[in-house]
Amino acid sequence: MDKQTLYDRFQRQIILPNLDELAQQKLLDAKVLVIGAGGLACPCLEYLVRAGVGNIGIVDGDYVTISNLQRQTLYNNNDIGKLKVDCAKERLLNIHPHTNITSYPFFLDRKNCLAIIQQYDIIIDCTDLFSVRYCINDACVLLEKALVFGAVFQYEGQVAVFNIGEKNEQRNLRDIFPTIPNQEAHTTCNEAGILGAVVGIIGTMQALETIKLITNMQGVLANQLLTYHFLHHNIFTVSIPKNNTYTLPMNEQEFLRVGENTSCNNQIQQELNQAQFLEKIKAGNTQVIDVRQLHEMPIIPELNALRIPIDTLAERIHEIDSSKDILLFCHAGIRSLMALEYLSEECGMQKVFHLKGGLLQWKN
Amino acid sequence: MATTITVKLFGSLVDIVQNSILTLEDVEDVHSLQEKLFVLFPALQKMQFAIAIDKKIIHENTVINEHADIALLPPFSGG
Repeated sequence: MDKQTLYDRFQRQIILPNLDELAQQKLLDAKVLVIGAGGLACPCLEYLVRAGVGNIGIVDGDYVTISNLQRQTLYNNNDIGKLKVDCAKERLLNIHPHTNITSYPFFLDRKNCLAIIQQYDIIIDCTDLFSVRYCINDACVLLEKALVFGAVFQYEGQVAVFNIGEKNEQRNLRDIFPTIPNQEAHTTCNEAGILGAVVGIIGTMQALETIKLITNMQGVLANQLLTYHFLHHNIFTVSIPKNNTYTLPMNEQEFLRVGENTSCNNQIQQELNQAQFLEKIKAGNTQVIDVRQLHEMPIIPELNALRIPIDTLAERIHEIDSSKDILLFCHAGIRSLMALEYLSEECGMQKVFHLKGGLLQWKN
Repeated sequence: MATTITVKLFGSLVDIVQNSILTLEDVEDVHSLQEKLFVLFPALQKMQFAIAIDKKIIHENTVINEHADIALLPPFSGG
């Protein structure tokens, strides 16, 4: 791109106080990894690309569904059934063709995350499960990467920028919540509901914090947690002192070992997409269990599932044949994850799997 | 002297308490705050949340003064 074209494209921001041509060059040279390509990531990615962030990685193994379109602004009707990272890359390159975009069409886990994260300067967490968020958090502490965190619950959102400043001043997610929260108690968007404009503002705030970081602007939300209540427009920001009650892996071996012993990694390995779920059924020796309430629809005949609502799982445990691969599913993948945790951790069953995203993600 | 404090609640904690602001009496420190909350709202025991006093998250038992700004912040995972 010649200098005049470059200037024309970014002229409106280069004339801002604190954002000159040198800062623009920093944006063009920056390497930013966005993990997740959903509601937070769409506006975040779009504003990063429009601002000229030159090198962007996008990680997500998910496909576009009709229920995504209410909030995930990079996708449209024609994208349903396509990989999100492919659609996002195409749309973003239409916005600014000189952006170097690398897509990773799979989900992040403890085994693959270090190799990907270490290639980037700033990591943006746009995911939606605690297990993955803690995996990213621990990897960013280990690799000393700045982490821009964003998350939503109904009409509220949280933003934080971790691992900034001198070593003894750096904070991470575990300094607020030392252990991985129970996903069952703190639901995801699929279960709790979400408005596009809410997740859009938080994703945009993540892009803004990233741009501030890259260009060394003041006012980065470093080592603080901001909570925004969108119905009342209240912003509540707290500082985060060091929490000494947790330890983190000090090297790659420890990081992987922690993964082997935590439900974080196991959960990822035990999560199946539709194709993997059907493949297991085809392979045989499986018992498929629908943990929704009995009135919930639709019924998928090809799954031939035994219906055991999650609240009756304990009393009907004798109906589960642990010599088989147990395949669990529900509406959105939350109750099946709870059932998976119960059967694995409380009942000691080894071969338990669940349908990630539930029937919401099911394509006939 | 009886201490009256107000507590701000966020996220899913509001559903449990059925209010975004709570007034409590005779709360001396963080331990007595937690005890009182768990008696009044047993469902809170299943929730993880950070406690902030005067906009600073606290990790240890701390004395709570009459006009302290208390907030209970649960983790959010949606995205």
